[in-house]
Parts: sequence; structure tokens; C-alpha cells
Amino acid sequence: MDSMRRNEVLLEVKDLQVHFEVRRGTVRALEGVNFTIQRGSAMGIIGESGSGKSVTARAIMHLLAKNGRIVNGEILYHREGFEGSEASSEVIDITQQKANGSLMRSMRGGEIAMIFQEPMSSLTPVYTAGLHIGEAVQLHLKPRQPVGDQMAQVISKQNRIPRNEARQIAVDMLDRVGIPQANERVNSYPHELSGGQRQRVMIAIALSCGPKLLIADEPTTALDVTTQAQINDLMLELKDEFGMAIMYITHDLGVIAEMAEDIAVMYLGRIVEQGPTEAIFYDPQHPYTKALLKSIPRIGGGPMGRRLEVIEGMVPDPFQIPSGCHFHDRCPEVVPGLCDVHDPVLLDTGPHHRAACLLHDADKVAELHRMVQHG
Amino acid sequence: MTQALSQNLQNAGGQSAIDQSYWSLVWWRFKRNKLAMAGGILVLVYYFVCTLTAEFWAPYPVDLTSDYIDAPPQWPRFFDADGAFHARPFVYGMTEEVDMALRKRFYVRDESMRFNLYFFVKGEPYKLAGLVPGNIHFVGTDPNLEDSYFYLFGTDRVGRDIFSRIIFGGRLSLLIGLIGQFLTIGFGATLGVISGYYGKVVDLVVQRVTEFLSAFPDIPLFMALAAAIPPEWSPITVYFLLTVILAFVRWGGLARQVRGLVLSLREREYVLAAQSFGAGDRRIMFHHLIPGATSHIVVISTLAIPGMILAETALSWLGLGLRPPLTSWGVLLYEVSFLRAIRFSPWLLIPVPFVILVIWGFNMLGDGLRDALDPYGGQ
Repeated sequence: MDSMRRNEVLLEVKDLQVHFEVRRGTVRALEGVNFTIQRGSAMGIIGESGSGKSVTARAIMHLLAKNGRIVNGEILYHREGFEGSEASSEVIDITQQKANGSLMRSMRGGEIAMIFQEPMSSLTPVYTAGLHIGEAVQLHLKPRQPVGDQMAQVISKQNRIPRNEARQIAVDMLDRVGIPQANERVNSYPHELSGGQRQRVMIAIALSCGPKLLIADEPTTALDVTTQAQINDLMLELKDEFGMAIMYITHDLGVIAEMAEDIAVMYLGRIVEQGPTEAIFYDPQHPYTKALLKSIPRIGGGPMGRRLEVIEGMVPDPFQIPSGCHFHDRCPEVVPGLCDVHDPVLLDTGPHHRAACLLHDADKVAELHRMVQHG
Repeated sequence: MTQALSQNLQNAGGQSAIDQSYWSLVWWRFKRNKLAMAGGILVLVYYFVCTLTAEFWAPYPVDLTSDYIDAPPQWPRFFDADGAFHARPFVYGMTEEVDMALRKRFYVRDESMRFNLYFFVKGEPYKLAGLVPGNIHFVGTDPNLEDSYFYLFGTDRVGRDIFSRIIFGGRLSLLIGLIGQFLTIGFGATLGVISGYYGKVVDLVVQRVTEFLSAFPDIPLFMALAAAIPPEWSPITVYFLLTVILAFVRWGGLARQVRGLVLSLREREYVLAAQSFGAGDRRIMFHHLIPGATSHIVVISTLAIPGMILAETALSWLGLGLRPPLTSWGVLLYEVSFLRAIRFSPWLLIPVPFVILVIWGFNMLGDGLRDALDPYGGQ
């Protein structure tokens, strides 16, 4: 990917709000999320359980659970025309599409692919690895050369890639994702593959149709550390090879540092800080990010026997979200009268670096000082 | 050398792992259940004999009438009246006697007539399963001997061989079970998966319909539907419609089971994964969910086929199902629905053990399959 293409926008998420209706009421899973993914870049989303990482991913795929609803916002996907001709490229607002419409179905897998947390259960047990990849290929790819004449096209179902060709693509893909003896493994059922191999198969499925965006939702959580490293390296390798963007969702700070160029930190349905990876790791601006970074165990970091720092308290109940800044009741730098009153917004704190903390809001801080001084 | 060794080990390990597929494990477990094996073999023999090669096994064509009306069974023997042993089995002939008090003809054994039995004898020409011509029958009397006959289970009131009719009757009865069950799977699995996958209103409607069908008494419903078949329609159309009716009344149970299974399967990650690479609802339902229910469908179906066969038998016995000239077990038993028949020709009841036997076979097979397919079953 050359640098020019890298500056092209692939996906824009604007003020995305997602609510879930449950028996106890409405859960505001996302409260106005904004971010942009450039073509060919890797963006990381990090946060605790329940912070809305996976909901964001599902919303982009338009695959929210049945009780979920996008109440506001836009998800703009910049679809490229054939051979990159400007004329035929278009912007699709995913939120406006029918979840099961043919456009959305062709986007899923074809333009945006996703891999999941549980490679163990993400493959249909009755199909071989090859059939899985073949299915995706037959759903999305069209034969490069039209099959013979008009008649032959009608006969070959809706101009699909023939089965043996799909199988060949499957073998190639398995080979690309580093599965040994791909020619034989293509006939293996999921239960005959190890966890790492299954995740590789998932990646092979996801990449088989050349998507422009790969959403990886904690793809290595269920794997052991060595396999994690292999899978992550593989994804980075393939990212450059295929020129696709990756949206990498995880709660593992160590992994994200390696994987992503940009990071968004999420807390309770909001992005609290976003910026380039170095900035986030070396110069965190939001107390939550700082606390997260402090809670990473380090070998040789600090005196022996020191307790690991943790973030005080629990992630609040989704029905009792604190007023003001959602993090204020766990925040070590909380300012009473400020943090529990005002809603923070993302403010620039450096180049491409923004944090949603009221302590960076000079006006609000000054206002508080005035109020305190005047009694 | 080490490399070759490890290669070998790898191959050996890989081989055995690949060989132990789900179905090979199922087969292995099924084989150990002797009763189920017996049931399975019995069922296969029934279908082979009755549906494929009935013409060969039956000594006479299904509708061949003879002069011997209501003749009793002729049991094959090895010892004649004098107690002498004969290596070739034979039957005695019959002579007619009239009981003046009852004003009825009877056939009594006539030991002066002895018909040897031969295997693979030439007999009436036929077409095997309507396709392959032939004239060899499994068993029969000497074809060169005029006026020889062999009615293993006697004859009915127009002089047709009951043994042959049992074999031919099995063809329709067994096929109605099989075809009907396939239709049931078609209705039941489709509606079940739709109901479970879409949920909400669709689920509600499908479930209420299945409840209605299962709450409705079977026989009156059959009667109503069977009575709706116009009598002037050809027997084959009636046969087909009866199959559809049986399937229509019985899909509910299967639909429920499939729905229940789909309710749990649709929450599996692989469904989401399939959605995420662009699979539509139909593809997910029929390519990703139904295969997961296959083992259940197989077991339920195997256990349901006897019900189909019995329903046909019951309906035809009531005179509501198949009608002559079609021959099924139900039609055969219809002839015993008169007291006179039971009193004077009890051999007309001989089809009953044959029905019981195949149903036992199906039940054993189904039980065995259930045990073999149940992943949580004990050893």
C-alpha cells in the first residue's frame, strides 16, 4: 500500500448510538462513537468487557442481535469501483441498509469480513475447511472470464465459480495462511483441526474474497500465547499482502501495541481516548487509559513484591451508569463538582490525539475554579 | 532416518484421527448393539424382498385366481403319512368336501396327491419391480406337472395365494412408510427450522398449528381427509394422496424437535460466522442448521415409520385407505374384518405376524440408532 492510498478513508463511523431493549429497560451500548479507518491501516479498539467493542463491530456488519437497534449515527463505507475508477466508487451508509438485503449480504464477506473470538465454534461442524472457504468464494467471487456463452452462464448457477475451482482457491488460501499439507487439510472437518488451525481457517475464509476491511473480534483470546503470536503475525503479513484495513478488537494491551497503528480506547459505550499507538502508550491523556496501562504486569518493572495496580471498582451496571463522565466513580483524578456534572467530549491533546477528559477542558476547569472561589 | 520415522508416525497418527469420523464412531457403536443390528437387517431384508424383488419370491402373481377358494395353508413337509423321510420337501394336495350342515365347501388334505417343492423354478413370467423381465420363482411345484399347486398360507375368497399377496402387499405398505416419512421430513424439517430460526410470529403460528394437529384425534382426521379423496380417482392417485395425508398429519412432532434443536443451534457462533461472510437466511437454515439436526431427524424418522405403516394398515382395514385392486397389508386384513372369515379361514390373519415383525425391526433399529447417535450416551 502506498502512502497516498493509506490516506484514503475506508470507513467512517459518525456519532453511532446503539441501544438494546431488554426486560429491565434500555441498555445504551454505544453512546455516540466516532472514528475513521483509512485504507490499508490497522486500527485497534480496546476496552473492558461491556465497553461496546463487539457491538461496534456487529453494528458495522449490520449483524446486531435482534433486540439491538441503531438509534442514531452513520456508518459510511467507501466502496471502491472496479479498477479503482473514481467514477464508480460510492459511499454506502450501512445503517440505512436492510440488514438482510442483498447489498448488505454482498458487503459481508465481500467487502468487510470478520473473524471471531471462538475459533472452536465458528466453523459449522458438518463442513470441511474447504467447503467453508468454497462457500464464501461461491457467494462472492464471480468467474473472471465469463463461462462460455450466454447459455453456459445460465446453466452454471448465477454465474458462480465452479466447485473444483472454488476448491483450488480454498487450497491456495489454506496454504497462504500457513496450514501445512493444505491439499489434504482442505478435506478436514473442524474437529480434526487444532484451535490455531481453525483460526487460520477462519482467516482464510475471511480473506478468500479479498475484503477491504477485516474486523478481528478478539481473534486470539481463546488461543495459547505461542499460537496468538503466530496468528497475529499472519494477520499483519496478510494485511500488507492484500492491502486491507484491519479493525482489531481486544482487551489485551500487549497485543494491540503490536497490531495497531491507531488505537481507540472505549469505556461504557464511548471512546475515551484515541490516537496513534505510540501516543497512547507513551503519553496517555485519559485517566482510564493511564490506569489500564499501569495494570499491565511487567517483568523487572518496579521493585519486587509490589502489588499489581488495578483499577478500583467494577464496570458499572448498564442501568446505573454514573452521571457526567462515566468513569468518574473509579477515576483516581476525579474532581468533584466537575466530573460528575459535565459530559466530557473528545478534545485534541496532541497531533491526531484526542481524549475525552474534563481535566483537559480548560473552559470547564476555569469555570469550576471561579465557582469554588466565589463560594 | 529420524525424519522418515517421524513422517511415518505423523502419517499413522493423522490417518487414525481422520478415520475416526463422527459417522464411523456411530457405526462402530451401532454394530455392537446386536438387537439393533438384527432389526436393521430385518428391515433391509423386508425392503429388498417386498419392494425390489417381490415377483421373484412370490410363487404366484398378486392377482392370479385359482379354483381353490378359501383353501387352508399347505405346510411343507419332509415326512409323509407313513413316516418315511424325503430329502425334498413336499406338500399334499387337497380335495373338496361339502359340509351339508353348514352348506359350505371345505378343502381337506389328500395324501394321495404329493407335490414336490423345487427352488428356482420356472413359473408365471413377470417383470421384476416392473422393469427386469423373468420367470424364475424362488419356490414352487414342478412346472411340468399339471394341476400342481402350493399355497403356503392358503388362499382367500377368490382363490389368490395369500403368501404371494403378503409379499406384494408389503411393497405398498413399506413404501408408504418410507415415502410418507420423507414427505414428513420435508414438511417437518422445513417448518421446524423456519419456526426456530425466525422465531416470533412465525414460530407462534407454526407451533400453534403443530399443537392443533397433535391435539386432533388421528383417526377422525384421517377419515375426514381420506373421505375427501374422490372415489373415481385412480388407485395410484389415491395411494399417493394417502401418503401425503399421512405425512401431513404427522409432521408436527418432527417439526417441534427440529425447532427445539435449531433454537439452540442458531445461537452458535458458526451461524454468526456464516452471516458475517454473507450467507443469507435460506443458506443458513438449510446448509448450516439442518445438517446439525440430521442425527435427530434420522432417529425420529426411523421410529416414526412403523406408525406410518400401522396407520396405513388401520385406515385400509377400516376401508378408508387403499382399496382393491391395490394390495397392501391393510387391504389384506380388510378381508378378515368379518367374523365369518375369522371363524372359517383364520389363515387370512397370517399377514399380522409379518406386520408385527417389521415394526419390531424398525423399533429396534430406531432405538439402536438413538443410542449410537447420542453423544452423551453411556457405553
